[in-house]
Order: sequence, then C-alpha cells, then structure tokens
Amino acid sequence: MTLVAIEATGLCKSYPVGSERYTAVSEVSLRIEKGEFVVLSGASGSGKSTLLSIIGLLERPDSGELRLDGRVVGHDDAEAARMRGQHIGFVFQAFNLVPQLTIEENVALPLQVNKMASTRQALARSRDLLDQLGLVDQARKFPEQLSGGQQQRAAIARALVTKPSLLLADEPTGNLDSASGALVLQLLRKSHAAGTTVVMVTHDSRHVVEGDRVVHLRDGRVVESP
Amino acid sequence: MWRGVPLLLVLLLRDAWRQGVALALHGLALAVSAFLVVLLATIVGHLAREDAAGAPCSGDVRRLELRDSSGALQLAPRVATATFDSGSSLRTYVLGSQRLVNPDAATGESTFVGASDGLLRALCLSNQAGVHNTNLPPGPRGFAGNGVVPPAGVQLVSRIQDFRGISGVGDGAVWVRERDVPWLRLDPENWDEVLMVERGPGQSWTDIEEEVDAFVRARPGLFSPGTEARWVLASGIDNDALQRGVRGLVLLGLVAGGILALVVANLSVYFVGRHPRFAMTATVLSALGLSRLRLLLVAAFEPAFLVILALPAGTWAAKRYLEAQPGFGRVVIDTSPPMIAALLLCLGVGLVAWRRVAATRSSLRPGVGGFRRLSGRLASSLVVVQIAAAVPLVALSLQAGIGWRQAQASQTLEPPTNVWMARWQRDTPAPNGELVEAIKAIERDDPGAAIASSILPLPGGRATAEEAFVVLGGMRLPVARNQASPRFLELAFGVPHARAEAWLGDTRDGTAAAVVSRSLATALSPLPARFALDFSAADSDFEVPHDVVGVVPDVASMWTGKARHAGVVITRWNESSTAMSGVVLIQAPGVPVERFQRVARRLGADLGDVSNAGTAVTRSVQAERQMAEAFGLMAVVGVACMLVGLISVLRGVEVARALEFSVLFSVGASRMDVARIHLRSLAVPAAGGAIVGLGAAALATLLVAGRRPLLEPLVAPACAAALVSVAGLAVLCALASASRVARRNPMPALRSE
Repeated sequence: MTLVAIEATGLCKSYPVGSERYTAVSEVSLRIEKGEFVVLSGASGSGKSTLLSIIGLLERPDSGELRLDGRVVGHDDAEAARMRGQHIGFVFQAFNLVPQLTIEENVALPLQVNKMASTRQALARSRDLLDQLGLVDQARKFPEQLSGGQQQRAAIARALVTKPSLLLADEPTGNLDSASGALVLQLLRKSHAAGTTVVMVTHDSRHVVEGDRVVHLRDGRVVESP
Repeated sequence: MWRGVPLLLVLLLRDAWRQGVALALHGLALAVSAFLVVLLATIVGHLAREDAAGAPCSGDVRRLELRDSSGALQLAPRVATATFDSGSSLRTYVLGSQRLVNPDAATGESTFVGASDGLLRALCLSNQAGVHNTNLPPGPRGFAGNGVVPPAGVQLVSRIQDFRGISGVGDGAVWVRERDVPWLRLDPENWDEVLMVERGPGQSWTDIEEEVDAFVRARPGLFSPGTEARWVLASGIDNDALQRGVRGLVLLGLVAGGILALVVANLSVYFVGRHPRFAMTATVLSALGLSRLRLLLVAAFEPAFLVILALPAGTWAAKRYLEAQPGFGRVVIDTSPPMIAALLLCLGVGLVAWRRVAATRSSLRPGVGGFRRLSGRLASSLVVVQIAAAVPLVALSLQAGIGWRQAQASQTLEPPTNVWMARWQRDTPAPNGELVEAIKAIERDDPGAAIASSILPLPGGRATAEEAFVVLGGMRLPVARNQASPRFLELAFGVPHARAEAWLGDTRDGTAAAVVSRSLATALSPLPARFALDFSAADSDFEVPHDVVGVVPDVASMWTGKARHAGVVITRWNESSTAMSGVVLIQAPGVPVERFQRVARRLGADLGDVSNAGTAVTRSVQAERQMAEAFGLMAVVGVACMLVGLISVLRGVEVARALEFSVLFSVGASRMDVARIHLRSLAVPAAGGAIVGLGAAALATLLVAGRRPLLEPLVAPACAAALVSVAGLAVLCALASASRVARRNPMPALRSE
C-alpha cells in the first residue's frame, strides 16, 4: 500500500487542564496530496504539534475523521501501529534518541520493532543510511556523545530507515543552530525529492518557505490553507 | 548563608501538607527499617546464642560413641550438654554415666543408662532461659520442694529466672528440680561417674572430646583397650559450624534489614520524588550563592532529624515486641560500638541510596519525578533485592504457620505438641484399685470421655513382665535408645517392623530415631524423675522393677498417630502392686483441653488425699502459634515492603523509560508490544531475585527446622509456596505496570525539550 493522501475532516482534540479542558485542535479539516511538502505553522499553543501527532496516529482525535490513502484510520491500535511502523516516519524537536542505545541501534530500531529485518540486516541498513548522512563514524557512539545536529540527523535516519511514504517532522530545527538546522532541512528536502510526503511543523517564519504549501493554525483552527 | 533562609522558609512552608506527608512517610520508613534491623539482628543473635548453648532442647544432641581399636562400639551414652552463660565465660556441663547394663546378644552393642531426663531437661531449661552462676545459701530459700531439701553445702550452680528449672551440685550429689517437681537427688552411687567438663570461652567440642578421652583413658578397667571417644552429631545443628557462622548470621540479619530499609525507603523516594522540594530549594539557594558545604548541611538536616527521631522509635518498638515474645525475656539493645557501627552502616546504605536516587532530580518542575535518571541497573538491583528479601520471610512464615496447624492437629508421628499433664502425688500409697474405680466412675458418668476408657486397660496384673518392661523401656528410650531394636519398637510402640527398622537405620545417621527419642524425652521428661531413677537403680536383669510400672494403655499409638485415645496414666505402685502413690495423666492427641481438664479435675477429686495436684502445659501449641505470629508479622511487613518497593521502582522505571517506550510506540510498536517489552525487561531481575530468595528461604527454613525437631521441617513446601506467592504478587505488580505503560500517552515524553 502506498499513501497517496492525508484527508482530515473535523478533527478535534482537547486535554484536561485542572478542572477544565483545553482545546488543542478544533474542527480541523485538511487535505495533503501525495508527495507534498506541507508546513504547519503557527504560534506556540496553536495546535500544530497536536495535529501532527493525530496525523501520525500517535494520538486519537476526540472527534472527526482521518483518512490515509482513502482509508479511515486510528481506531484499530494494531493497524495504527503497523501504519506508524511501515509508512510513517517521525522527526522530533528533541531528537528522542534512546539514550541507552548506540546511534546505529537507534536507527535500526524501527526495522527490528516491525520485524522488517533481522538484527544483522537492520544494523547493516542502519550503517548504510548513516554513511549517506555522514554519520557512519558516529555509529557506535551513544546519543549523548553527539552534537545536537548530529543527533537530529541520526533521528532523521531513524525516520527514513523504513522508507516511509510520510515523514512527519515536529520543529526539527528547534534545538539546533542555524548551520545544523539548514543541514536538517536539506535532508528533509532530499527526502521529499525522493517522493516522500513531508509534513513539517515550525513556528519559525524563515522555514515556512521550505514547503510547497503552508497551513497556518491559530487557537487550534486552520486559518489559512492556500 | 542567611540570605537564603527566608526563601528556604517560604519554600518549606509552601505546600506544607505535602512536605509533612513526605517527611512522615520518610520517618516511618526509617522507623520500620530500624525496627526490622533490630528485630532481625536480635532474633539472629538470640538463635545463635541458644544454639551455641548446645542444649538438647535447642536442637543439638551429640552422642558420644566409644569404639575400641577394632572399631566396635563400646559405649554409646547419650550425652547432654548445657552451657551456662555466666558473664564472660561459658561453661559446659557434660553429663553422663557409664554403666554397662545390657550387652545385646544379637548386635553385640553395649547399652547404656545415663542421666535422668529430669536432670537433662532441667539443665536444658536452665540453658534456655539464661542462668546466673550464683551461690545461694542452703536451706529452704530457693530450694522449696516437697519437703526434700538439699542440705547445707549444696552449691547452686544454676537457677532460672522464672524458676522453671534449677540444679545444684553438692553433698556428693547432683540436685535438680523443675517447677512443680520435687527436688531430686541424683546420687552418683547410682552412676558410675558423672563427668562435668567446664568449657571456657572459645573451647570447642574437640576440647571436650579430649577431656572425655582422658576420662576414658583413666578408667582402663571400664573400657576395652584402645577405646576412643568420638562425638557424633545426633541431630540438629552443628554448633561449631553455627558458632563460626554467628557473626555471619548477625551480618546477614543486618544486611537483610538494610535491604528492607532500602525497600521501605522507596516509598518516600517516590513520594518525595514527585515533589522535589529539596532539589528546588537547593537550586535556588545555590543560585543565591550558598556554598556547597552549607548546601550540604541544609541537605543533611532532614535525614539527621529523621534518624534522631525514627531510629530510637523503631528500636524501642522492636525491643517491646521482642520482650513480649516467649523466651526472649528482657531484650538489651546491644550498644557496643561494632553493633552501632553496623546499624548505622545499614541505615546509611539506605539513606545514601535514597539520596542518590533523590539527587538525580534534575528538573525544577514538580511532578516530573525523581526517577528520570533511574538507571536500569539500579532498578534491576532493586527488583532483585525486594523479591529476594520477601521470599525467605514468607517461607519462614508459611513454615511456622503450617507447623502451628500441624501442632494443633497433632496427627503426626511426633508426640502431641500440646501436652497437658495432671499430676497427683500421694504421701500415703493408696490401693491401686482406687484409681481403677475412679476411672470407672468417670466413664460411667461421662461415657463420651474417651480419656477414661483409654485409661481403663490399666490394671497392673494385665501386663506381663515382658510387656511391662517394654513399656518402661520405652519410657527409658531417651536415655537408652541405642539398644532399641525393631522388635523393641514393635512391642513398645506398635511401630510396624519395617518402619522400626527404617528408624533404627536412620539412627545411625542420627536423624529419625533421634527425633523419636527426643520426642519421647520431651513428652515424658515432665514425669516425676523419681520413676526414672528408681528404674535405673533397679536390677539390671530386665525384670520388672519392683516398684515401678506405669501403665499405659496405648502409649505406643499416641506416638504413631493411630491413637484417638485420650490419655496415659502412669502409676507407681508398691511391691505387691496394690498401692498407688502417684498418677500422671497426659493429654493425648485430639483430646480437647477442656475435656482433659474436666476429667483431670474429676480424677484428682476422686483420688483424694492428694498433696500435689495440678495441671500444667508442658509443651504447648501456643509456642508454635507465637512463632507463627512472629514470622507472620515479619512476612507481612516484608511483603508490604516488597510491594511498596516494587510499585515504586516500577513506577520509576516507567518514568525513566517513558522516552524509550514512546519512541518504540512512534516507530511502530503497538501498545501491547511496548507492554511486552517492559515485562520482558523485568523478567530477568525478577527471576534473579526469585533464585536468590529461594536460596535464602531454604537456608532460613532449614535453620528453623533444625530448631523444631518435633515438627515436620516443611522446607520444600514452604519455600515453594513462598516462591509462588511472592512471584504471583510480583507478576501482579508487573502486569499493573505494563498496563500503565500500555496506556501511557507517548506525546509528553516525545515533546519534552
């Protein structure tokens, strides 16, 4: 199966805050075509990360419908896990590499979790990918031994190792200096050029131009989606 | 430094109730820790001290075998030892007599009649209760018996605090008495020798053996040339080994207490970890320029405060608890520098561990928890020690609990563990028929009183000479058991021949038959020792002694568990077997105490002219119950600690691995996958804890079993059941944790910067 589109209709998500509920996403409808590079922008608290996590099947919406490749998803935990493992890659602002694993083990993790390769094969593919990203020398190191930019590149390698159709990046340059951030964006563009649909969350207006399309959110609602 | 004080106060007072709860929990944890440490150390010390005493009743019976140069057994006396703790010195009395009475034609073994059970038991009791090496003035004071008073010159060598037993040496004899038992003069003329060996500090059994050897060598006419003495551990615990291990055991108790302290402290770690008051305070104060040293002083305030309060409280509670237990008497907390150092070391380990974990709080945000950097190794270690600590406690509890039920049921091969005894002593012998008539009267009035009917087959004329001897021989078995033959046991106790053979076979290994022997000794030793003495003084031609015969309808079946009869009566009658001067009534298995007492009262009343009557519990189920309660309490505390510890550690692991789990989730693992991974990672330390705990449980239950020879050891079932129950609880905790992991929202961890 190949993802051809993301179609969100009337997505809502709220969280309890004390005795009240905070609405993070409210009635969001959105369509992303296959191969698009979409940037979700907005101020802090506008709901863009929540929307991204819903699209990535990490969270379930309180209401609304999400279709990936025309299929309604998100209700079956096992199916969602399979989709995440095989068709979706994540890049986070905080890199989120597992500190107890080496870089190559971190990158190989999705292959092993999804039983897409044996341990040896997974590590081999991991090293290949790290080589392409200029990190093969760091493969045996632990995350804390790497710089932020290197960690984020390793995180991108982990996201791409399963060759996903959809790459979701949540403020991927937020913790990086401008040089490292540029390098990360270059990797995302390269992935996009290879046919991967990319959805990137950012509040940095300088990066908005990276996308084919920009979706602005404010107070959990889409205010501009050209 | 004072710059930070107002802010410190504000921070301390803020959210005061939470801080109060955290402080209280931490104090409670320390108090419980101190309680457990003191409890374990004292119990271990107590056990070790008792066992080191080497008294028969504490599980150590040594048999002296004398073999000639050809290896043939010359003499196999039962030798009892009792150690008197008199200040700094230990003195061991080795009592025995060397009187060849019955060369067994069949086996060629010599037989031996030794000291009376009464004496042995008195010494044994003396040993149990702790003895003052005191010289009391002669006369009635301290020697009140039934008119037989040791003369002047008798030197009291032992006295028990509660006067359960007392013995003295003087006037060319050994004097001994027990509570409610008349003074007994053990005349050495009835013995060939009484050997008394004094054992000083550090003296070993080998030293005593050498003394005995010297004793033997000095009597060439009594023994074959080349005879050598050799101690054989008949049953119970090897004292020497135990003594060597005493320090190790105390250390083990302290370490176990320290481990439990660590486990208990988890609760406060978890609670305080959720409200990192000190981390916040310290960070702010540090930012204000407080020096590291002063910061340390502030940090030390809380544990110091808690130690000052909680340690004495826990110690006091343990002391009170132990003093309420039978056999402990006044508990003196050992305040010697090594013990205090060891105690502080254990508590220090707990505190340091707590501090190390708590100090990992790196965030100023309350609620993040103190486990963020809880390493997998530390978590695994905590899981191991918690399970390992709980298993032996539960095993001990189960062993004691089952033992208690067993004692209640009294359906085992061992004698009834709840022996009530009624004794009547008559100054003027009365016709034996009087007893029979009294029993018949009881039976008439109370047909349901099995006790009466069981007594009825008593008429002296019924027993043949051989049977009577056999019965008496049975009574004498504790001191002459080595000549017991299968036929003997068969006749005396109704033990099937094959079983008797098996027992006797075991005798050579010092196991089952020794237990049987000791069981009989325990049950019969409360009898007026005069009977035994009279017997030993009788002719050795195996004729029925002219002035003794007890007996006893179905004494055998009491021990073999077949009996549902209620009692045993032993009478003593005169030469013509027509007069009775004493009666002893012993409760049999399965007979309610109330019925026994009713019949005993009635019998005593009917007999009349009784100068010394009463009932007494000689061995009680109560003791087993108290042991079960004590171990049960420890097990409850231990399991509670384990649960608190496990839940805390697992919660910590959940927090510490939140990122890992969330990442796994994000890369395609389902919630069930994540839960399975979490469970798998817990399996290894849990299995490690179970293995260590099983070993510790086996050791502990074996140790206790060696001290309770009258009951089934129950080592294997107790350990197995403990393992299963603790493992079951651990699995429940792990499943609950896995459930939480599976339901955890991954986003907070993934989004944290």
